[in-house]
Amino acid sequence: MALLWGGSLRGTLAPGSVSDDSERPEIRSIDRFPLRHADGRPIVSARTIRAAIAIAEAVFSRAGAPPAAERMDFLARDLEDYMARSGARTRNVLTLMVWLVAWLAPLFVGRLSTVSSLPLPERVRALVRLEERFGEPLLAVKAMLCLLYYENPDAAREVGFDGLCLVPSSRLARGERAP
Amino acid sequence: MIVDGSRLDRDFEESADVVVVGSGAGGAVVAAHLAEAGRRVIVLEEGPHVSAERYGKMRPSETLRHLWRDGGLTMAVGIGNSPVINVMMGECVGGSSVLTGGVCFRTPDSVLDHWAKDFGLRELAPREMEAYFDDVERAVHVEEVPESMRSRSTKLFALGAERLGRPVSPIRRNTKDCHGCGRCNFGCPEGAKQSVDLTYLKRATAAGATVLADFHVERLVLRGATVKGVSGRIRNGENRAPSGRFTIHAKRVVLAAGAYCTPLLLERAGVGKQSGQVGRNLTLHPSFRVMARFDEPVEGWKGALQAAYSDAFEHERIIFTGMFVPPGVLAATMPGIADDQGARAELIPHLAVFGGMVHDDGGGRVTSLFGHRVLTYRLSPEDSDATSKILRRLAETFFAAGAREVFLPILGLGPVDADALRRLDLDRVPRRRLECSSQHPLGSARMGVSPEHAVVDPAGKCYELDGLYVADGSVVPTSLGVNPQETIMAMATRIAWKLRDTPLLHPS
Repeated sequence: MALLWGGSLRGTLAPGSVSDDSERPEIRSIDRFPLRHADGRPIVSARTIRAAIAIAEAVFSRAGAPPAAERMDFLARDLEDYMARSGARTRNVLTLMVWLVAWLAPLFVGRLSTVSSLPLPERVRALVRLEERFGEPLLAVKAMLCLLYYENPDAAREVGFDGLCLVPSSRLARGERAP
Repeated sequence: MIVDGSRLDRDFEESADVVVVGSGAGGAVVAAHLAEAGRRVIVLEEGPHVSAERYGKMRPSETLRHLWRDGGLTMAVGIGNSPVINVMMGECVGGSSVLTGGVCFRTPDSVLDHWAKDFGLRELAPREMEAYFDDVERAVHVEEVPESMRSRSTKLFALGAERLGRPVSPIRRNTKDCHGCGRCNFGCPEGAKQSVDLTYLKRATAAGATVLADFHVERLVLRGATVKGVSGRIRNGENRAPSGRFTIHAKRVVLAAGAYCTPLLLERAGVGKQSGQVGRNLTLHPSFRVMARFDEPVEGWKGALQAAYSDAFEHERIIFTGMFVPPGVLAATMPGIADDQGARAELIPHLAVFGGMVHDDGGGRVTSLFGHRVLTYRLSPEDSDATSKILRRLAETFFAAGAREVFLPILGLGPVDADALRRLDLDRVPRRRLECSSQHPLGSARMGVSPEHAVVDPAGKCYELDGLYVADGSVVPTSLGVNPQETIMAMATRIAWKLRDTPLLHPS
């Protein structure tokens, strides 16, 4: 099947499978993958995302109030996308860490339940104590949440990050704004 | 031609003169030289093909999930009193070269001399390697980062270093027309970094090579003790899951899948029974970063990501290099929940960051468990000592520049001022509580002059199988103490030139 060297391979490939820069500088394969299995099941369970968001609400709460709902929605969508696309090994480890934190943290304030069921002030206390005494699983979850949360342009601006370094200078010259 | 395997709708079988497994700093170099010499070359890449235009528009976390192996979260398990190490590697056409800071160091003469004297690798002595380094530096446009491109973060560290009498030196990188937007690790948004997808792979495809993306090699095709090709699965299933099958028949197979993946392919082919060296001797350059808070705004993301380094403590097995990380990562590594977290996050524009890495002994290993790769790492006592010195010297340098407090990479430890640093006994900190990362896995199929102690000979040829070569970071005999990109490219150039000059008819 010497398809390549006789020049016949190109003709046998499905449309779009040759990503020769001269023909098609942009590849679209990444975005076309669904975040769900073919039978409609999500790759990352909704319960895991809910547990992670409950942790995020506590981590990013200010003066006793959780962040704005739209910011949490952005985080939930991005978190699902990140976990779905990062490979089974990473997804399984992160899922395990989320549930470890969700179940362990309440124990530090004498509650036997998941972190989602605690009121916000108690959730914060539980996570503070967990971080002081057994920080490793929380670090993994917090790292993932912080990375995604501060990519929200509003959250980034709040901590003084203008995001300009993420825009090529050629586009800045055309007046394009930070993402 | 680059083929997007995820869009193929059938199995695939093909023949070539040379099949190269991996498209990073080793594989791309071999592919370019052999294709330009008229060989029919196929390059197989496990990851996707993402064009520079596309990855240049991604947010940092998007590149993690699309271009990095395991979403950037591959871990080496710490054995004994050792930290868990986050080993970051690329998984895309161009490999880790797309995701480096672009730093290019020639292998230090002291390291090459050590290989020549203690490993018998006289062909790798400094004078012998010069032509290969010259060729690489021309191909990827290695240039010095001017002082004007240093970020304020780097300038502050340089100020402290100068006050302590050990000034930093400018770094050299593979860039052209770089404007210093500080996000090299997430794919250059300007196409300024001359990573191999923009240089060697372009040359390879222009000379007729074919790059097959989303092709995951599972095993070598053997006839007796001769390698006849490779086979594996195409990631053309749901969510890039392996689905279709492929076989590539070839007169020569060059493994360039990196120090993490190459050993498993060798092991599956039965290599290593003779030497016992496959997967062993892995070095990582365990790396640590220290963040320092200044009164003045630093905004360390403005400027070249890596612009200066210091080898003033090389005798202590330490090298310091400039760096920066996205605000989200900075926030993640500072302790605190809720208002404490918010208060610390607001410090981000005032933070300077510098990193240090250990010129390590090689306590790492790649093994397989139920067919899956497992990385382990044991920090030697000397490397453990070097770790304490890295943290203390980085912190002292920042204090000399006027920092108010530093954040050390120790889990659960809050900010530390100069007095507290003096009182802190870093040798007593359990190593498993350190945040540690690595971008430089090397040495898991090392080169040497005897099959008892090495996996490949000085030409990169596998001792135990005919027709098989290795040309990636796994052949590097010892830790380098500097970023390995240029060493890998130079060694791959050397292996490619030798292959080019060998007749193809007979495998050995």
